[in-house]
Amino acid sequence: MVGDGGSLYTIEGLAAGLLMIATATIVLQSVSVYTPGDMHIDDMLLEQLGADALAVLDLPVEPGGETELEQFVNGWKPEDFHDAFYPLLRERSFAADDPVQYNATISYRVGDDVEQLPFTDSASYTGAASYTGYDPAIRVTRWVHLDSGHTLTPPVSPGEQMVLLEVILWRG
Amino acid sequence: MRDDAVATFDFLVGFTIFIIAFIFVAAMIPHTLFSVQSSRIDYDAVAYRTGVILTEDPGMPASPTFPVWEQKADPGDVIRMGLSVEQGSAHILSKGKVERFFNDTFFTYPDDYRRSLLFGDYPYSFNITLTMRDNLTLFDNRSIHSIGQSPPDLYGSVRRVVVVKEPSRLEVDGYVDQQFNYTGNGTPPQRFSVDLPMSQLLDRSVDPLFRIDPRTDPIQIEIGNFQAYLNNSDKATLDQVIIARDNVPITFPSYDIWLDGNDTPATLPASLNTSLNFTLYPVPETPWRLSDTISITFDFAEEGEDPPATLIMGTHVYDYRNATFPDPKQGIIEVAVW
Amino acid sequence: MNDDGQWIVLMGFLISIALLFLMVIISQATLVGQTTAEGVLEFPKHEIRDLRGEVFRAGEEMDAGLIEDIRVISLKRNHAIVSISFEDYPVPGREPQPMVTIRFNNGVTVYEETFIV
Repeated sequence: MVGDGGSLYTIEGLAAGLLMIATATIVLQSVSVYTPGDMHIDDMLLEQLGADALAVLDLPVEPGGETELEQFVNGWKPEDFHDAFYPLLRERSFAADDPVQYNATISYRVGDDVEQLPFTDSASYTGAASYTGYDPAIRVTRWVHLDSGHTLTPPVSPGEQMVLLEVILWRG
Repeated sequence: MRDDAVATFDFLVGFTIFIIAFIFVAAMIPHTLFSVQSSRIDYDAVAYRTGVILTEDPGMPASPTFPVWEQKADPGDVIRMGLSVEQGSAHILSKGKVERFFNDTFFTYPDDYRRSLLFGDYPYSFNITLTMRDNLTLFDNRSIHSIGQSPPDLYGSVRRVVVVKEPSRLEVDGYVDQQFNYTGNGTPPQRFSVDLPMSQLLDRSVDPLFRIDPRTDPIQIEIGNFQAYLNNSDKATLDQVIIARDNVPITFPSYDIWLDGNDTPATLPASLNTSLNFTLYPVPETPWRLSDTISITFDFAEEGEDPPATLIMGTHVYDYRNATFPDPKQGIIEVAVW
Repeated sequence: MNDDGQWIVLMGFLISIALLFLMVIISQATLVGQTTAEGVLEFPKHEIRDLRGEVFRAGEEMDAGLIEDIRVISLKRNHAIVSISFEDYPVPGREPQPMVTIRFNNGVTVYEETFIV
C-alpha cells in the first residue's frame, strides 16, 4: 500500500510527458507536409508583375499607332525588348533590385500546329544562369499582332498574323 | 509520517518529469509557427487588393456617378481612391488623381487612406510609393512620391508597373502656323479662337491613354513666337478671354494664363510679345455636356488702337489631329502593408 | 484512494488535445494562403483583358486568319477555348453595326462578352 502510493505520481508524470511528446511529434510531422502558403503568394506577385510589365509595353506609342511591344517583335529587336522589359521587373522603391530573370519565346501557328521560336532571355545580357527548370517559375503571355511587313524569318510565315509572346519568370 | 515524506518526494519527481516534457513540447511548437506566418498571408492579400484598387479602378466619389473623386473639396466625400483614368483602363493612371492622392495636406494619414483605400476593421499600417522611372518628375520636381512610414521587417507587399498619362496640349507657333495671320486689307479682327468639339474628343475608339476629356483633364494651349503675329509693334495687349459653350459665352473662371514665360499667372488685360500659355482646369459639376463645342477666344482688340497691334485671327481645332501628346511616363507603385 | 495523482495525466491529456487543435488551425491558415494565391493565379484576368484589347484595337480588321491564329495558339499554349465571332447588329434606319462576341473557357473560368466595334 505504502509503496504503491509512493511511485504513483512518478508514473503519472511519465505517462503525461510521453503522451504530450508523442502528440507533438505526430502533429508536427503531419503539418510539415504542407507547403508554406508564402510560396504561392510570391508566385502570384511575380505573375502580377510580369503581366503588368507586358501590359505597359503593349500600350500604343501614339493615337491609333503600334504598341512598343509590336514594334519590338515586328522589327525583331530583342535588345530593345530587354532594355524596356528587364528594368520594369527588377526596380524597387525601398530595397535593392529584385533578382527576377526571364526567358521569352514566341509561339506562332503553322496549319493546325503551334511552333515556338526563342525571342530573348535575360541570361544573354546579364550573364546570369539560364533557366534550369528547378526554380519555381511562372508564365505570362501577351498577344502580339504582326503586320504584313514583319521581319520575322521563316519558318514564321510572312504576312499578317497573331502570335503569342510567352515569358517565363523566376527569381535567380 | 514516513508515508507523507515519500509521497512528497514522489510528487516532486512526477511533476518534474511532467514539466520537463511540457517545456520540451512548448519549445517544439514555435518552429512550425515561424514557417507558417499566417499574418503575412493576410498582409499580402491586403497589399494585393490595394494594388488592384490603385491601378485598375478609377475610384468613386460619394455623390455623382462620374468618377472624378479628385475634384471633391472634402476628403470625406471620397469613397474609393482608384488612380486609373477610367473604367477598364488598367495601368494608365491619371496625373490629377496621382497628384491629389499624394497630397498629404488634403488627406490625413492614415485615417482617410484606411477608410477609402485599405478598408476592413483592422487598422493596417501601410506605405505606398510611386517611383517614376529614369528619374522623371511628375510634379513638385520629385521622382518619388510616398505616403506612410518605412515598413518594418515583416510586411506584405505588391509591386505594380504603371504609366502616368500626361495631359495633352495644343501648340501654335508664330513662324510655322502663318495661316492665323490676317492678310486682308480691312481691320483685322484680332481674335483667335480654339474650338474643342466634345463629341469628337470623347470618341470611345480612342485609346484611354490619349483620350482628351475637358471634364477630367486640364486643357493646355501654347502660342509660341507670338512676335510673328505682331503688326509692326513691339507688343500686343490681351484684353480678355471669352469661354463659350456652343457659341454662348459662359462664366468659367477656372483657368490661368501665363504671358512671355512668366512664372506668375497674368491678370488681364496684360501685354505680351513672345508667348502665351493657357490652361483650362477641370471643375466639379462640369458645365460641359457631351455634345457641346467649347470655344476659347483670346481677344486682343483694344478700343481706338491704330494701327492694330496684332494680326492674329482665325480658329484652331483642339482635336486628336492637332493636339500634342507628351510621352506617358512609366513608374512603379509599391504597396507595403503591415 | 490512489486517484490523487491522476490530475497530472489529465493535464498531459488536455495539453495534447490543445496541441492537436492548434495544429489543425495552423494548417488551415496555410491552406488559406494557398487558396488566396491560387484563386488569383488561376483566374486569367490578364489573358482575358489582353484578348479584349487586341480584338478592340483590331476591330473589323480581325479577319478569319487572325481569329484562327488566336484559337489554335490559345488551345495549344494556354489550354483555353477561345472563339471570336462577328455579327451585324441591326440599327433601325441605319447601316447595321458590326458586333463582336468573345468567348473564353479554360475549364475553370468561363467568360463571354459582346460589344459593338
